[in-house]
Amino acid sequence: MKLKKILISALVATMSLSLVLTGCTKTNTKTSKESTQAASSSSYPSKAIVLTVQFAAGGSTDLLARALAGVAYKYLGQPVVVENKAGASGTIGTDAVLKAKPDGYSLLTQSTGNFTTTPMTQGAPYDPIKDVKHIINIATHPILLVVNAESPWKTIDEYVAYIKQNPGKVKYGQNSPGGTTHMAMESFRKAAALDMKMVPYGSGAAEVVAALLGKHVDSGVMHPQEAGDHLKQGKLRPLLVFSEKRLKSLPDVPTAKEKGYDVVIGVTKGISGPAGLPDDVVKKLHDAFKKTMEDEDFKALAKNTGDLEFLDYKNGEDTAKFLQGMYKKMEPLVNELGLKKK
Amino acid sequence: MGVFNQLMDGMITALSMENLIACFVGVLVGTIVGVLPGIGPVGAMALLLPFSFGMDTGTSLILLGGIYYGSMYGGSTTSILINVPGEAASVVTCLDGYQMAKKGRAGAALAVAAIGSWVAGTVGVVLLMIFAPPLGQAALAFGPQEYLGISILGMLLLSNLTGGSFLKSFLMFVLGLMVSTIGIDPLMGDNRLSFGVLELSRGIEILPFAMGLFGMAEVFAIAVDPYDVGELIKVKFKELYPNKNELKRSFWPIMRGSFLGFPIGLIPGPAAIMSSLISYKIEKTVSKNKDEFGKGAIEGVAGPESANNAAAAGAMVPLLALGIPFAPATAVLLGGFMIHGVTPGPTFLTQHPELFWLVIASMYIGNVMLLILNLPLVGVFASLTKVPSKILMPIVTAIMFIGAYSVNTSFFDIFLLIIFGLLGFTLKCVGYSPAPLVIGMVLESVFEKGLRQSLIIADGNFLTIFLRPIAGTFFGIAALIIAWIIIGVFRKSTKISAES
Repeated sequence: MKLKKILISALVATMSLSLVLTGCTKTNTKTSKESTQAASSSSYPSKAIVLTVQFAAGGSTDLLARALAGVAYKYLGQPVVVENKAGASGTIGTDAVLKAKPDGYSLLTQSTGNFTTTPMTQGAPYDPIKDVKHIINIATHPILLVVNAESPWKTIDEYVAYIKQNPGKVKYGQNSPGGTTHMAMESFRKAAALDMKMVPYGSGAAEVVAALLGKHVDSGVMHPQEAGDHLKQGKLRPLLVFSEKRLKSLPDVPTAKEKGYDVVIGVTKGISGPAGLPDDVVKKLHDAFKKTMEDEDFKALAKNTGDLEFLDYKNGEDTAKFLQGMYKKMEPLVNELGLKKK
Repeated sequence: MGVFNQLMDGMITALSMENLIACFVGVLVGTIVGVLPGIGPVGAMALLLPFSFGMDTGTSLILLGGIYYGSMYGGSTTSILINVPGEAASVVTCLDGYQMAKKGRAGAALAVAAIGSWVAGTVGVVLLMIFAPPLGQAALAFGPQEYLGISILGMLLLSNLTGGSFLKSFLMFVLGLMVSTIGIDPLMGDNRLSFGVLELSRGIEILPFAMGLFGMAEVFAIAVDPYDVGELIKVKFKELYPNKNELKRSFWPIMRGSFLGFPIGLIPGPAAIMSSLISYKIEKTVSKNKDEFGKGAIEGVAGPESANNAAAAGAMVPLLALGIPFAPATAVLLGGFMIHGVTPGPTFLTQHPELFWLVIASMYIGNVMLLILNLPLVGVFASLTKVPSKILMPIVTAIMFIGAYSVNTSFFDIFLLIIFGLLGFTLKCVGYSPAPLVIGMVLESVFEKGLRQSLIIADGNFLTIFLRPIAGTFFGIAALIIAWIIIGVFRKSTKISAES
């Protein structure tokens, strides 16, 4: 009887110990056999790839990632699993991937802000230029300036004129403090010399859309997908778009550039990984995701999520160049606005 | 094309084999996810989203929706049995539900929670069906000033939720406010109180916080002073379910919870928790058995559990009517809609009415399935209270550790769990209730955003905040309450001086 008790307690102890030990190891689930295999990239990928989305589930980055992941397995031969790791404006998820092993099994959805303005305004524990290897850019989400359709301003010129006549009274709402959309609007304000009030709305464009519809602010900046149905239904009126060319879905909306304001800022979305990724792994990933972008199934999904129109392929080097250029461009503006992290 | 006809059409489609299976899987996953502390409906919906790609639009929406409202059923189970909130919204159920379990009435509490959830879920769907578009428009009229008014009102009414010394409760409440400010400021991006620790920048998640304060604290308390199973009353099978008196007492709380919880779902942010807190306060105020609250009053379980289910239905109003998600769970639902090419919003009801009615019809079916799923399991779950504490507590701790980790796949949350557990235990020993801490935590985001946005818009002119019709009403009520409290204090002191 006593022996039985000892055996049982020993069994319980070993089981709990093994549970604790497995729990205490790093979250990258790798057996030692597989990690040596991963180093030899000729067999890459030999298991599932984790694509970390540094924003909450259901958002535009998340949906694009899921659309990509759903189709990419065709070209990679292994499933791509989307994991959300939101928090601190995306720096937590970004940091987790950039500090992971550069073996190609931990990837990140690149979003402009995390590699440009967020490290400046909020601080980030990673170097946005040195710690990352950009693989491919998939899309660029344009930024729109919208007003409630019941407002008296039908064109951007009318709006600008109104703001100049009423300095400091006109309010605009944005939902990414220190982020790309915010900076785009601030660049425009500077270029047009407008005195406006900025009302911050924190997480999610949903609150800005609600505020616009409820007339709590006069205008807002957001991506077209975030304005959703209301744009199509004419409840929200887009006045300006901060892209290089007019959008095909909104041909009547002028670009800031053509109106004489040199503001061309969009939010890039792509796939990146930690610096130190072997070149052939990068090439394999790049080719696979490029084929995914051209795949009909992906295009169908992208049409639904609203990304189809904004697909914007760039290879890894061009993406890196673009983001570094954006970083340099944004730095003086951030300093001027007093948003630089102290 | 009457409402009834459209509903019947939706019913017929909802009763197809494929949709029924999707509904069942959805509510089953939802219940499990609700019972398990930690992973919540958001995580489960995100996990199952890829599965839904291959499905019909309607079927995938039924699946995701099932997880969403199903999780509101399961959350109360662990709250009642082991004082660990399964979902953030079930924190309030810990207050009286656990006390009922200690008295041997766990089965009754579980059953009433299930029944209340069913009634509220069904009422919620009916209200959703009828009032979605006009309520959606009404929700838009609420701006930062209105949310400020609501949060101030909430502070006044809820900060002394569990009774006792107002000063003690308010102290805890303010501490909760402070804890909630830790992290990145949502409005301006400043890093607050994070001391350079990246995990703290994310902020304190409500679930490890609540699990620590309630669950972990209880584990420590039992470790110090273990109870013997023999001390628990031996419960017969018949007594596992609520008796007539308990059912009678639950009726009005369930009704009130259902109808009052629904509009609270329209508030952006932590609507489900707020609705259960408000319901608890209301039940305590109108109850004839006020003293029982905090010691195992069934109204304290019936009301809040109904309210959070109703709020979940209410939160679908802005989603369906406006296409605007006010909570993370509805944001994932929106993602589910969009990935199938459907954009909810004003045109959703006119362009895809069959989809709307399908979802509504399947919500009715889902709620019935949930009732059938949960009621028989009451007996199984209630027998958990018979397990000796020296076996149960380690298992509970393990469940909490896993749960805390699963919220953000972060070890840091486990540290938080332990730290807040110690805090909760200390509070217990000195006679403070942890409930106001949670209330402060929950209300802070609504309050801060409302205050700061209102001030920016007001440009320093406070009058513009108070003169708005809806906001002004809230502030007026708040002012009246403060006046009432002050008058009460004067009366008491004059009474004492008159008597002396």
